[in-house]
Amino acid sequence: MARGPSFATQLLKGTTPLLVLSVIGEGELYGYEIAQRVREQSGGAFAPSEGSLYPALHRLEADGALAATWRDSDRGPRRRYYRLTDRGRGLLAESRAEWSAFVRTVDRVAVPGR
Amino acid sequence: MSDPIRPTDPQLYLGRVAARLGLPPAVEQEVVEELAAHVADATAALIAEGLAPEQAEREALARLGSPEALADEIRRAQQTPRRLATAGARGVFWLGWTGLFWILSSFLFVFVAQLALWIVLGFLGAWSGGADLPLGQAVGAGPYVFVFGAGAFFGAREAVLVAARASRRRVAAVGRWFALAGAPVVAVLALVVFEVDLDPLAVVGLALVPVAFVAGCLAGPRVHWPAHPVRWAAAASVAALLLVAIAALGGPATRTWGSPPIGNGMGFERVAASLPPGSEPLVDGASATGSGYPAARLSFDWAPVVAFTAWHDLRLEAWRGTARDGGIAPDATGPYAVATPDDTGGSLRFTIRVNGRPEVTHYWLVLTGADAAGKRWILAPPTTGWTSFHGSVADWLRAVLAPQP
Repeated sequence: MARGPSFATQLLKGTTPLLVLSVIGEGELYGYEIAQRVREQSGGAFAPSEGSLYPALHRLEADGALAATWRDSDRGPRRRYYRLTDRGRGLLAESRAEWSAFVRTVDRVAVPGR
Repeated sequence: MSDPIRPTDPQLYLGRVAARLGLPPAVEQEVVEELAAHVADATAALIAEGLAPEQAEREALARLGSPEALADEIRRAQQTPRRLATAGARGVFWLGWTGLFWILSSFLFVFVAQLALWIVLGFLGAWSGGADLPLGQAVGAGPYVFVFGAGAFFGAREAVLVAARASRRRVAAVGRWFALAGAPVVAVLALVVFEVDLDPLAVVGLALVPVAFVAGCLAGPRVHWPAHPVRWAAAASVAALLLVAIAALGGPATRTWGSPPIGNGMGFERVAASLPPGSEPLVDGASATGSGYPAARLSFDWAPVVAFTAWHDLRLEAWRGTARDGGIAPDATGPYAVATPDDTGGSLRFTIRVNGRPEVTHYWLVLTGADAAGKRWILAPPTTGWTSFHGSVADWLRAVLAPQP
């Protein structure tokens, strides 16, 4: 039987927008930095697929949660920096609350007695 | 061995992404530039970790996944329903705003051009004011051809460009949708709803408005105009040249104003009997007063009323005239409109519609009555004026296709 994507990978797919909003909430970042920051902050446990990172960034920008600006760089090509908008800050707060509620609910079922 | 499905060369990879994106060129360029910067960063980091440059490049591209899948995901992320709704609203707003701006601005310049033309030709004696002459038609139809056509074209073009930008879709695709959805609406507005004084050239001009709209939808950014003052000067010049060119085809014309005497060679002697010899006209035609031009009806009062009892079946007849020879139209064999008296108590008043026929640009009104033997006579000097068909293009076509009276 063929193995599907790992459990962590499936989880990560749904949480990419939350992770992206969280790290951008700390300051303006460009795409590669965002991927690196997630990887570092998760202790290397999470490495969001770079193929799903850019669609997520563009979707959040289209929804008005992120604003993007091109900036020249001393080290290589110019980069597209993303920052949270007011709408994005609201969305981040909402997503965090939803995530916490979700984890508590899953814990009650999957980790009884916790 | 490299995967044949996933290119290992960044340029090739990004080329396949770009080919698949289907976004406006400016957005595509930004997406590709952003991904190129990512690949460069990732490659540099992997080299720093100890990979060989070629291996690092391959790994950086592999992490992005299939170029086609990435392009599809980014396109879906860009073309959200929210952006589509915003684009539709903005497109419609800009269509109205730009269209109105063009219409009003162009009217101003065309008015100035018309005025100049009118003064010059009037001074030269070439102006007759005859709406059935090319000059009259040019002055009447020119604004519709130019102004509304320009409004539809540039309004549509601007709307498509704005909507394409806002929806992150290609101009050509948005233009096709605007043309499909908007052309019927514009056609109804221009041909059915909009009512104005019409002549054949104006009808053609208004019929071209939906065509101009579709052309504007499909023109996209290929059509460029210079800065505003130059643009308006060019527009005014084109309008003026158009009018002068058409006017030149018409040349000067003669026309007769006022009320010539009965039997004056205006053509009535060909189709009706004048006042019997020795009789005086019932009234002086100059006392007839018209009102309501260019509305549908004209009222004429004959006062004081004199000896109507000698005649019966009094009626006011409208005959199609022509400005070129000053008489009734050579092919006219009968009046195109007939009115009976509204009120005979103290005055004689008729209400007759003189502008109901597309082919009528000049009319002659004549009071007729029948004698005891039933023979119809012209009882007062005829009076003339010019008019034009008022209504929508659809009304005009209906009138053209309707049986002649």
